[in-house]
Amino acid sequence: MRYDSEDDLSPGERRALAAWRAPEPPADLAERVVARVVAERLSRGAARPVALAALAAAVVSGLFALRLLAGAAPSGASEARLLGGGGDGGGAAETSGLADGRGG
Amino acid sequence: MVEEIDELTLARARQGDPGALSALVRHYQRPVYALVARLLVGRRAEAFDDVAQEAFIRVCRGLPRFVPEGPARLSTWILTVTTRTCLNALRDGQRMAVLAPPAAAASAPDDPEQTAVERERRRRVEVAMRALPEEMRAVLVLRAYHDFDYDEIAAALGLEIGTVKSRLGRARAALRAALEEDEEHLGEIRL
Repeated sequence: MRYDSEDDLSPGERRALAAWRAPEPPADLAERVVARVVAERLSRGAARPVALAALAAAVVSGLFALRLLAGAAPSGASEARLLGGGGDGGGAAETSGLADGRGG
Repeated sequence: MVEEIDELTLARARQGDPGALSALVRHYQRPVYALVARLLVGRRAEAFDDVAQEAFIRVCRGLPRFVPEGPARLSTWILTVTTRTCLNALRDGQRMAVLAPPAAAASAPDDPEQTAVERERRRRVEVAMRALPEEMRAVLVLRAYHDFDYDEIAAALGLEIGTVKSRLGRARAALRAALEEDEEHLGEIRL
């Protein structure tokens, strides 16, 4: 035990602290610790290929989804059609019908 | 003061060699377990086992980052990891059922007088330690049983040195109060 001189404990107090003995560690503590550490390392090693495969699958599906979105994205013409602007003329029947109905 | 493990074993342990890790645990297990048992005073022995194991697993994980040429001794670093693991466990409260305080020393007829006195003194210290707040107990235990200086305690607990000194002072005052009562009681035992 080590104390600074200005706040030293009395010999009786030191004796009391020394009397508080700690229990001994279990005999198999080292084996248990090393077994856990090795198991963790093995599981990390096994998990790495799985994680890589999952990452690759995520990248591929992400690219696929982007392509789908790009394919389904409205072109300038179809946007115009949706807005009722006639565009390339393909939507004329729809728009004229509405116009007729309103215009009387 | 704990004698440090040899450099070769430490180097192998840092590379994850199971034999070296086992040797490292065996080398430091007594101070680590003693620290765990004192910080978790009043808890079951199973809790000591679990927390000591968890502390060593953290040590094994952190070993590659430990710098042997750095300012901290390996034993100080290991006991710092252990202290933090204990305080975390106490805060989490998992498997931390609190046992009843130790009963007063029974006077067995075949016990020598000194044994009864020592047993009662030990009981009083344990009761006084249990009554201390956890971080105050940690300051006193690291100082009294593990030779940590103020700087090391401050670093281990993330405190200012002034806070360490004030907590140590209060812990000692509480201990003195318990032991004054103890001396009166021990006088009764001697009679």
